Amino acid sequence: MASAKGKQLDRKKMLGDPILVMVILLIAAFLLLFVVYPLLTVTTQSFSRSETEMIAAVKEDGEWLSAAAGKAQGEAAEPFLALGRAAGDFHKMYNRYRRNNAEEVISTRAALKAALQAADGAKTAAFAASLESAGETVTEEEIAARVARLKENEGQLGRTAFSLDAYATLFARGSFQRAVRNTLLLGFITGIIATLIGFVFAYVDMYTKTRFSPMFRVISVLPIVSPPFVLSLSAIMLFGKRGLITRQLLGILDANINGLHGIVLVQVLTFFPVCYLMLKGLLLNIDPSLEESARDMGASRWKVFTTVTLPLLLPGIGNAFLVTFIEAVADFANPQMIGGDYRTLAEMVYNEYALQGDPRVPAAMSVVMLLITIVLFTLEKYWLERKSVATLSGKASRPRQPIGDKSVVIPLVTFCLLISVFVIGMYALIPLGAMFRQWGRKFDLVPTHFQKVFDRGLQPFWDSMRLSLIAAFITSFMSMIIAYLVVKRKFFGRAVIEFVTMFAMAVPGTVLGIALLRGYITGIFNSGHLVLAGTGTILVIAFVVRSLPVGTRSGVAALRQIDKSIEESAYDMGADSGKVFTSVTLPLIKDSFLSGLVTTFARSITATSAVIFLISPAFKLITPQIMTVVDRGEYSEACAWATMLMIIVYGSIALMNVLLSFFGTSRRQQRIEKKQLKEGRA
Amino acid sequence: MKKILALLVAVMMLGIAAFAQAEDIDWRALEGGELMVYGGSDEPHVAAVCKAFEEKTGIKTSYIRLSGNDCFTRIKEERDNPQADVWYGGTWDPYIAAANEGLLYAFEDCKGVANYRSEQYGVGYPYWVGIYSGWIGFICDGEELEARGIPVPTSWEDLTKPEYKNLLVMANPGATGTGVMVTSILFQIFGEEKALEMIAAMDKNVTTYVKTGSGTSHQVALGEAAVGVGFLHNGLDYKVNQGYDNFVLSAPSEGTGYEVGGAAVIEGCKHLDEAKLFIEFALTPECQEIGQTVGSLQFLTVNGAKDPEAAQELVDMGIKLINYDSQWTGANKNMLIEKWNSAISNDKIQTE
Repeated sequence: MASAKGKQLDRKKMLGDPILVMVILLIAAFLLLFVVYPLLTVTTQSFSRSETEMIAAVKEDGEWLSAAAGKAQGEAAEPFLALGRAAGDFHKMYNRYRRNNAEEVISTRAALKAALQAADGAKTAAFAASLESAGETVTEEEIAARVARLKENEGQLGRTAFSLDAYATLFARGSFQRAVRNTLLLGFITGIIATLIGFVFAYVDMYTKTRFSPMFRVISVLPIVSPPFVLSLSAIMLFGKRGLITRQLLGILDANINGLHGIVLVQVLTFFPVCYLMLKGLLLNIDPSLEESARDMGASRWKVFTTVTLPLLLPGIGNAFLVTFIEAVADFANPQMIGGDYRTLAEMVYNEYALQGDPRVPAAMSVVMLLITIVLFTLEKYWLERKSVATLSGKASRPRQPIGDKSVVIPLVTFCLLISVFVIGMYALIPLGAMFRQWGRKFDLVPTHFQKVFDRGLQPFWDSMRLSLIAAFITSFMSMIIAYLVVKRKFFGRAVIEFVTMFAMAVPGTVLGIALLRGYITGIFNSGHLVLAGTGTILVIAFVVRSLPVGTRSGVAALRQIDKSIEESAYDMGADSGKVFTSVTLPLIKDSFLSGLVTTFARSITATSAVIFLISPAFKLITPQIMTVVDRGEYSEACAWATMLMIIVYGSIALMNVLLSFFGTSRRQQRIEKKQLKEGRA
Repeated sequence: MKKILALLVAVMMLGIAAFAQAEDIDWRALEGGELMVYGGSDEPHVAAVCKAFEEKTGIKTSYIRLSGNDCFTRIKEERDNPQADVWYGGTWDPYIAAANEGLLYAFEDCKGVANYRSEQYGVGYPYWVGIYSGWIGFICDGEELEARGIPVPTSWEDLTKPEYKNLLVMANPGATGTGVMVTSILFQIFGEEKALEMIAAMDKNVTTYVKTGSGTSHQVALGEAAVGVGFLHNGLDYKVNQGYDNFVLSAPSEGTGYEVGGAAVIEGCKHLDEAKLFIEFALTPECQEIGQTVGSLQFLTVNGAKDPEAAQELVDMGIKLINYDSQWTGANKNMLIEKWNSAISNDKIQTE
């Protein structure tokens, strides 16, 4: 019996665990279907020859041959007349049914092939001769060239022919090169500032004694639900040419908020809370005894911070920076609204599609964006991760003695207070803006804008909430499992799973939306199976794919802090991997899981650019409604929608917290912690 | 007297013609059918038209409202399995592009097109029909200009004057069709060389190039600019429907271009007959007059339809329309964007 158990354990380590294998396969399947495959369709498109050009050439050549044959005399023109007609038929059918397996395409294509064979080289001379006798000056070479081009295009249409045309077009553009530089710079600046602010908030929350703590907590969660466009609007209202601060307060006539500084301002406010939550989870897991022993040995607070706390946090800080960098790069709404002449890639991809030019060009732009992420991600993986340290053997054994030192607390708290006031100011403008008669001009309060929201019906709210909630649960579970697999398990393809999960974050919403639509409009690989376009399922999938990276990131960061030995001891006691995950690992990372749930819900309900290509009348979502209203420039109504959205999200979050506190041990634990804290003080 | 009589007869004949047309169509023939619409114009407009169509025909009509460009992208990506039957509303650029790509059904026996006021609305026929029309002009913040002591601009030439520095907002041709259109209008009026000179001079005044067509009037509404170059009915919408009494509209004396709003049946759609009926409906005065009841103030395209009263203001301005060549614009889009790019300062700094 004992020896059998020993063997079981070995097999487990060698990946013989059936639950594990099944979970890995499921996750891999999901990622393959909904991340790799759709993105692959976009990538192949960017590297392919332009179908539009090819099919246009088929039409042109067909018409040319028909016209020429019409002028020629005698039988010699017959095969070319037939060829011209066949090319015309094929063009018509191909344009109508892009699916290459449509019957009409197949039959007209076969007819074109036959016609091409019938009009072989030997007959060109006779055709040219008959044209000449009819008084037309068309050379044999010209005809041959037309036929050859037809043949080539017929052969390549619908099959992927490799071409770098799109990239050549792209890199020849000065505006594109500038956008790449702009995007990187933006990601860098936003990343650094947001991580810094997020860190200070986390540090103040976890390490210092201040009565503002609960307030900071609430405020820093505020921007997570940042409905599209409205923060940019607030920024314009405060700092624009007619801005409350710039014009009314400072008397500046020609202030301009549009541009890099505007985007950074809004993005930092949007993204620093994510850093805060990520870092808070980490600080929570640092055992205070590590720092206290350093203090006991005579190190100053600053010394402890730089030699103990910071090194422990470095991987987490790196993660936070990376997440923010990528988010800033992929952000569409803010650069679109407030970017001015500062063009960024994510916005450029959307607007490039909107210009109805060659669709391969925006596809190529997306591939460039993907490459940027891959490089960043690799850097992080091989540079930061080497420095990562497992800090503890479980949760902190007892709560931390908060820092009371005024010289530390006062500046930090003041900093957080200033940021908080600013955040509150920006957000207060949203409900206020919804009540002003005319935002920016007439400041009397009226309920008409809210009335309009109710007039349009509340179905979008219901649909958005339902789908986002489903997505949030799926995402949270999946991201925890992926994080667990990535950190705690060694198996073939582990790095690939981690990589692919992260990919989705860098994909601009527009590209993800189009990729999913393109991949599933006629089923997977045009097979007619899994025709998901127009369903609620595809919306949920888009939400999950969009927020999976964030959840996984924070899960990974949290799990890295847990020493392997805890789980190993559970294995030793005979638990299988499912049991270990649910009863040891999961409770340890519960905070991270909860914050993941809230974040993914908020991310889903505010997702904008991806869903535009996936909504159907059966599911009306809030964000496309806001887009519609913003499109028309009814900013006050947009604020009313955003206010409703915020109320609903915070309501849901509160509800979720209440519900979730009944699961697991958090309440009891909190009580114990409180008690301990009291005792510690005493 | 004779003149009045002639006029009366003409009006009567028109009335009869319109009446006859409406009689030709059996609106209830497809009762119980279904129809799916992608709406590119304002949401209340799309909603009201779909509702009226449903009531008139008994066809169950559902819709999604997207921006015109998003409609195009979706229809293009969905061409193997079209989800919608009709594309209704929105400016013509995406319709022209969609027709060129074979995404639109050639509705050759459309009866409604016989009733156009002017043949310019039929440029896209048989692939798409013109359901409204709008003009490019200047949307100005009168209060702001007055406060600064600057006159409301009345010509393209005015926009090049240094007094408008930091007050002008235009659309970026590298991001929106409206920007391409304005560039094309300048090319068509002044010729390439002069147009590029003017674009460079205006560039010194431009505070921001926005990325959507309606963005120019939004910027004026938000106070970010005092003069926006865009569609006048957007400005009119602000002025009439949203109470922006500071808005002043003007048009360039050298002439300006126009847009035509489209509607089309989507190639390969699932409910072809219902879709055709919808297009016929879109060309009735009854349907076209719905727009003004929900705040859409463009000019209408068929005889017998009454233009919105508010739009009379634009007519009274005596706007000079050029014979704007949309086909040329479409064919030269990339050239226009590149030339524009090289004319504005960003690139000048880079190449110097």
